[in-house]
Amino acid sequence: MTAKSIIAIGFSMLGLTAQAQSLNTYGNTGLIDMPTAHGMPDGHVAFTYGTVGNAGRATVNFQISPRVEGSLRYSTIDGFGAGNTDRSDQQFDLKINLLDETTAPFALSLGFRDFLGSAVYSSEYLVATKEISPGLRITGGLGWGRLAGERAFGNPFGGTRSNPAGGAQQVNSANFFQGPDTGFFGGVEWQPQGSDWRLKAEYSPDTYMDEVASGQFNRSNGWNFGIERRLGHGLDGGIYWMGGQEVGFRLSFSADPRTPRVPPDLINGPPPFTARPATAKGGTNWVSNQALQDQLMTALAPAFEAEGLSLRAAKLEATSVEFHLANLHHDRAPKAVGRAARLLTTGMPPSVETFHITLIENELPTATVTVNRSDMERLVDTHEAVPESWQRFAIANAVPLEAPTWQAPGAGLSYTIGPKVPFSLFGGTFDFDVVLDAEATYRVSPEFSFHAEASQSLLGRLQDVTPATGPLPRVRSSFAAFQSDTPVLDRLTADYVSKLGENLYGRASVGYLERMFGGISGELLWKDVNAPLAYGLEINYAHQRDPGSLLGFNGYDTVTGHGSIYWDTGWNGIYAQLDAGRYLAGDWGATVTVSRRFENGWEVAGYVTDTNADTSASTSGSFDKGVRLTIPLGWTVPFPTRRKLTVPFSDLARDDGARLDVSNRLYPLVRDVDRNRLGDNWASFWQ
Amino acid sequence: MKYTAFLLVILLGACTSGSKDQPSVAKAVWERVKALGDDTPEAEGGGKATPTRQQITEFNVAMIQMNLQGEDIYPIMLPTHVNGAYVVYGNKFRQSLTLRESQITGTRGLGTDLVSATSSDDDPLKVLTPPERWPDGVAREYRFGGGGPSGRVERYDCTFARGGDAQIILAGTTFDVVGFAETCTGADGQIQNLYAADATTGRVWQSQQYVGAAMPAINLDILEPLTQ
Repeated sequence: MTAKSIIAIGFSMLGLTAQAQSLNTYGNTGLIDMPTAHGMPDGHVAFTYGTVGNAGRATVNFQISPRVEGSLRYSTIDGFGAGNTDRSDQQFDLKINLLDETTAPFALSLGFRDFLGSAVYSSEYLVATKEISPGLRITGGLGWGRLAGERAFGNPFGGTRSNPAGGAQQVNSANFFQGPDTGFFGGVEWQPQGSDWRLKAEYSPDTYMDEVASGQFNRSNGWNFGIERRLGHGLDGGIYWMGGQEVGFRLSFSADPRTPRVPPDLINGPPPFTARPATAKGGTNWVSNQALQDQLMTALAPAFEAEGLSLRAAKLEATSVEFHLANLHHDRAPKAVGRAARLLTTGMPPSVETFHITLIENELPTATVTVNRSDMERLVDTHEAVPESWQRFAIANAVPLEAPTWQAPGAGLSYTIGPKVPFSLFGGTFDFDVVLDAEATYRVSPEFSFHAEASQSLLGRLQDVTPATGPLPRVRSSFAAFQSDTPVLDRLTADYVSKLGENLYGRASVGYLERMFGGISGELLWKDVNAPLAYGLEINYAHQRDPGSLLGFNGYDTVTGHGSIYWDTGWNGIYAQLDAGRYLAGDWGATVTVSRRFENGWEVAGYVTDTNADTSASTSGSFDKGVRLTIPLGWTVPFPTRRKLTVPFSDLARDDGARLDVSNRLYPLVRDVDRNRLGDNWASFWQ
Repeated sequence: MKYTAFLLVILLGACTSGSKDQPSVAKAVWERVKALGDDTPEAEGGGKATPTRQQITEFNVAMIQMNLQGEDIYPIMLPTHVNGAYVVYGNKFRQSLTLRESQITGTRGLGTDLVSATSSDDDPLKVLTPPERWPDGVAREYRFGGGGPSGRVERYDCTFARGGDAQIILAGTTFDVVGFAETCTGADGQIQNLYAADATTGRVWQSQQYVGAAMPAINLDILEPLTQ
């Protein structure tokens, strides 16, 4: 069997998720403009760009849980209202599935479109969908707000809707199910079995009243028709005839985080396992033979390296050994521990009964897994191996190794060059750049290092944006001034990180902390590997850098910092984080972040920040919000790697709620190696 | 400058020094490219190439041949480790199958791993049972990665349907076999396994077995069983 053939297998198995449900121009699961009652499979992520006449909509859609679908959208309308003004808005949508078609005669969902935003698309709906034959679905629903533009009957809930003036963003709960009318919508979609083509027709009560009033949009009736095609590799697109007058388009890319694009374990099996022969003598003289120990470690270090593990330190005793290892490329931490244990079954003399294996992250000892060698010999390859080893192998907080028998040299230079893709959402508009980023670290000792980072913008698309203005110091709204056609020194710091106690981590950084600020940053993190809660404290003195000079500063400085609580809920991969304190512009407030992390490293996070800053002049709303998406590279390439691509969808030029962009915050460094995360992927210990 | 750098990004993907915690993507790709020339005789040009019975006898080692359903690749695997009734067969590409007699209880490095599997005590795949004494059915359990400390487990109730008698030739040796089709149903759906069992001993010489929804079925030939 050739490697060529193996790779061919890998690529032929590029698993594409069967996409039974389709998306609409709003990026929600739906017909053309209208929603359906179905959702995507749990965890599904979809990016959609849709246009209808003079409106453009870029949406990130996430199936938060099997019954809840959430969407974040950035929209533009070129001509709105009688004044024919252009609009840029952000919106959040939520759809809750009440009945599932697998257990009920039809699916039923309650939805809120633009429930958090400027209310330009504000509407609520109750929608039912039924698959009446394979591939043929009918949908009908009642709508309020924009979905009651054409009246079906009077609204039994009555009330009036009042959208915020000036496009300011808010929670639109006061408008829920209000207004004089209730509308009816419905439609049908048909996708013949085995076909990539899909036909749709719908009736929409949305009259596009303000778009029509601008003179930039035409509509004769409420009927929309479309043809869509699944294009492969997660792409899906459609073209539509809207309201008898306008053309619409949609292009979506969707992915299931749990279905990797390449098989995750291809040509990546474990090294051979070696059991001690029953007749092994188990002598311990080797412990007092330093030459023999040196020989052993000289052989083991490259063996670990070949297995994707970097040996940092070891302590050898007659019946137990402790190894501190950095996981270089295994995306699942238990896999790294298991690989190390297998090598030790081969490399350690028979007298050694216990392996203490400690994983090091950024030179910080995180967790120690204690492996009983006899248990491993008994369990290997058996069906009981996974659950029983989880019960029998202990997980404890790691501490630095005292008096190691062997230690890797502390000093060394490392570097990374790679692309980054910053997205920016200025006041609702949406843009991005591609940046070539180079980082270098010179480590003086395991704790102390120097770090430099420089980048070159390749597209320069973030230099022309007009930032929002307000009364706060321009800590981020001067963003454009810090963009350049030439290479920029993003960071130049001296860093000290250390495990100060069994559960306590510490960090101190000084220098140019980020592109826009220099100063001093200190952080403490309390995190027990067996506890779901962690607590952090960060204090910084920050001085704004001078965009006109390489190393200079301008006149603004401040003290900023936060207390943080991190909670791994243990439910469905949901994590929550609360940061409260003083932000860069001197405003006080808090940020709540909720994220869902998948076992393979995918993460979808949403955050909201509210501070005491006066944001009345801001069109971006009274509080900051955004979404962050993290995709592990191992999900898309046929070899193990821990690299991840993080794409933040956030307003990079907003002054209120702004935090320092410190590169080595402690919690993200250590959170992947605790009991919960090890348990998520414990089976990989044996892979 | 910008566009030169952009091309660099495309070409490099991401480049890292060897001493940092992250391995070089470019290096990993290069390692794969270098390995392309490392062909083994049995895979030249694809197709199934099987050792002769004489070669197997000369090697004096247990041997299996596997194939992922739908792929034209038939690697030979040799025993690398034994733990009681479990025997691991592997090749030089860090790919392996764990067998309990003729039952595949684990796969590694083939795509998405089957971490482990088990079945009823009277499963004729793991306990040699003459065809006439095969049970009506067995229970099967498959364990995969993820899903928490016990992994993600699929459970099935299976029934055997006896087919006709036939002869198969493995490595030049002819075996009289009885065909069995096994249909399994469970909360995760329905799966099917196929077996060619020795007409006398019941040893399953040839089979097609489920190893997970993310993988094609595995076609397995026992060329020479392990005898301890």
